[in-house]
Amino acid sequence: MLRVLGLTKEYSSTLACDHVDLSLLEGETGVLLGPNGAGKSTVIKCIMGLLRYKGSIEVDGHSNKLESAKRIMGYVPEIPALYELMTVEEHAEFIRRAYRLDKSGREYADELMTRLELQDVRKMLGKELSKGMQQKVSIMCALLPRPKMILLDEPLVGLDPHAIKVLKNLLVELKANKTAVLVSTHMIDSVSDIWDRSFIMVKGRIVKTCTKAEIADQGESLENVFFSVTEDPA
Amino acid sequence: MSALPYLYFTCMKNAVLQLFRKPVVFLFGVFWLTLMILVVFSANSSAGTLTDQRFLYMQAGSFLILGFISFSSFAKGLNQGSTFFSMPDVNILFTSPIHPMKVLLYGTVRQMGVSAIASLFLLLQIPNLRNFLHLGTAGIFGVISGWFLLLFCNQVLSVSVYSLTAPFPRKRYIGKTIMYCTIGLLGLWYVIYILWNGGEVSSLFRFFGQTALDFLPVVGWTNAYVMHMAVGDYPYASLFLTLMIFLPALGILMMKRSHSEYYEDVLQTTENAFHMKLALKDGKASGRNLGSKVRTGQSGIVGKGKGASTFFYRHLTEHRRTGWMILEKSSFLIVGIAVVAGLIFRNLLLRGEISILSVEIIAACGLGYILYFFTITGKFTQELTKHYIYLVPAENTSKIVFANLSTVLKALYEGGIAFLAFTLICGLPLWYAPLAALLYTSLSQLYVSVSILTQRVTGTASKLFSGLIYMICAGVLMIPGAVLFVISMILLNQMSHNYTFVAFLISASYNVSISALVLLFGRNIFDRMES
Repeated sequence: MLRVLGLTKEYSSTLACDHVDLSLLEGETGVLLGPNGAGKSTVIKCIMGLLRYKGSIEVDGHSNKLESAKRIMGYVPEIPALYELMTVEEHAEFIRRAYRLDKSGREYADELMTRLELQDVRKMLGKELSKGMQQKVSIMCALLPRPKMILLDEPLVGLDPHAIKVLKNLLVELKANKTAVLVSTHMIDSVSDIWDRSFIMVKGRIVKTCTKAEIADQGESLENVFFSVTEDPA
Repeated sequence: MSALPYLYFTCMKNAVLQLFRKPVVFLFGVFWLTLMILVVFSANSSAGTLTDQRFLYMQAGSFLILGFISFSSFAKGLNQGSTFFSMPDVNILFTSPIHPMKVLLYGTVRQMGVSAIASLFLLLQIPNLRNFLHLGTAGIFGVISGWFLLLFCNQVLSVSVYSLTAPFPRKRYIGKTIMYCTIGLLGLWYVIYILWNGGEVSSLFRFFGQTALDFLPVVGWTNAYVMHMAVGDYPYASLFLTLMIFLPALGILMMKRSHSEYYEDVLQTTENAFHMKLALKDGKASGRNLGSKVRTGQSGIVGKGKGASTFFYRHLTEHRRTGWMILEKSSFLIVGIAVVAGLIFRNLLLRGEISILSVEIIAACGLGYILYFFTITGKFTQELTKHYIYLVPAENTSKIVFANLSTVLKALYEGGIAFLAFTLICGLPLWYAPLAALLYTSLSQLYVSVSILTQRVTGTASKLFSGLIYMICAGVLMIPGAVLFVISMILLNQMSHNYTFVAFLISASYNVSISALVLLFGRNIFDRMES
């Protein structure tokens, strides 16, 4: 579903990503781990086509910058930012029109609003919502087009425990529906029960890729592997 | 309706609905609308004709204002980047399957709306344009539409220049070199022109009437458009209007050629603007973009002060790092305005078109009025948005004194230099400089006291409500002093012009007393962040 080859991104004199290779299969959940400033968000933004880069990124066989690729991608940004003068339901309606979804999109929007507990605030403007609520709307917008692949950049920051549980359940459902998921986070605990493949980044490079099965075979935990790699990157 | 028109019209509809949902916003809207209607219809439509002299002043003033705005806009585009997109655009629009060209057009149309709203305030200037410049309806239309076109053109060009040069440091360097060389050459040309004309005062203004300047992109075009509209020369005005429309269109086309690559160029700037806005909301920033030119080395002041005085030393450090000694960029602007005003008034005094008394009153009131806009974003007002001043264990009175001290000193130095320059250029009596500076400094304190009074009255109320109360408080506190000043100047002048200095002392005493009274009653302002 996702194939990233030799992704390199340089900001002025800083190398944010250095020959990053990663891939995800249909229905697979990948976690992009790393300390602050490792380059996780840059990788996500490159995949979403927001940045220039060297290398190649393909989503379901399409170049990520094409409309055909964007149509099947969902994105939950690190900082939720909604249109201040649009209500929650108007955000959903905008997404429905932008992704050319049929009328069933409205029903799905209703369903998502119910699950994410947004029904009470559906008539509220973006600027009237708390940070946590904005994050929920952001998640709803990403899920609404029923993407084949979804990228979540630190999605749990700002959510209350109940919302975290709801989001985890949604991610499990996405997995069951063969959606590829890539979650960037530095909160390892939060993804321990949903991941299939992990990519650990340090200083712009992926220093370790492993699957859940591999780690289980070694009798290790993801947390231990993460610390062993990040505390001694050599 | 497709997605982008839906987004545009929904936001517009909700903005209008917001007016009706919040009574304060509604009242504010009605107030401004009424004011604009009154101003537009009350303007005298038969206020004479645009004389050569006034034409020269208008041409020079317009060129300088337009030039300053365009320079700031280009410099920002080349240095920090510019954007007309918002963070939700980046998160939602840029990642959607909408063609980047459509997104760009959407951003452009929205920017046109923003520029149009920003041009609305010029409607309030219609009486001034009619009465002082004797502009007709076409001339006024020219000024307002020229202003709108300049704002729009600058924004689009700033974004496209940044987009085209950001990935290539060499291109950015070339862009900056061209910009500064153009300004340098213009300055050199100006000096040569004045010397060539024997340093005559009128040549200071006639320089801006040269045809060659009309062809300077954006600034020259806009100025030429406005001036040709003012004198009813419509074919030439149309020529420059066409150029003004052509250039942003070219910029958009060049951005289009980069396909979606412009996303990255606006991303960083949009994120910076968004973070600044968030920080402002949380009271963590002053709202002033310090840019990259902040000297972070030791200033010789860091670490000085104890208790409340640490605020004063911190302000001094900040002044030294972002400006020159206690002066800031705004100080140089005020001095520049004083110099230009001095040259104009000197000319009017020499021609006997204005009395010394009027010059003295206009200069003191005018610069005091300009100071108002810089003091409302001054150090003390910024301090109120952060939590430190509320938490430091010190007397409230000393907190107020020390948090204010740098503002007083800045106003004193700034006013001293500005009024000294003005006095010397206009040949006014020498006592005018220190006394006008004193009045100017006392006004800075009055403005600060208006901020305190507003905070005491409104607490954590909405910004709009606070803004309304601010205007009311400003009126209540300032108008008596201003009236006292003008009346005493006129009365004392009737006895002898030598006595008019007393009017400055009276007015300054009023300002200081009222400020002290407000500060005394408002000293509990630091007891809690919300009232």
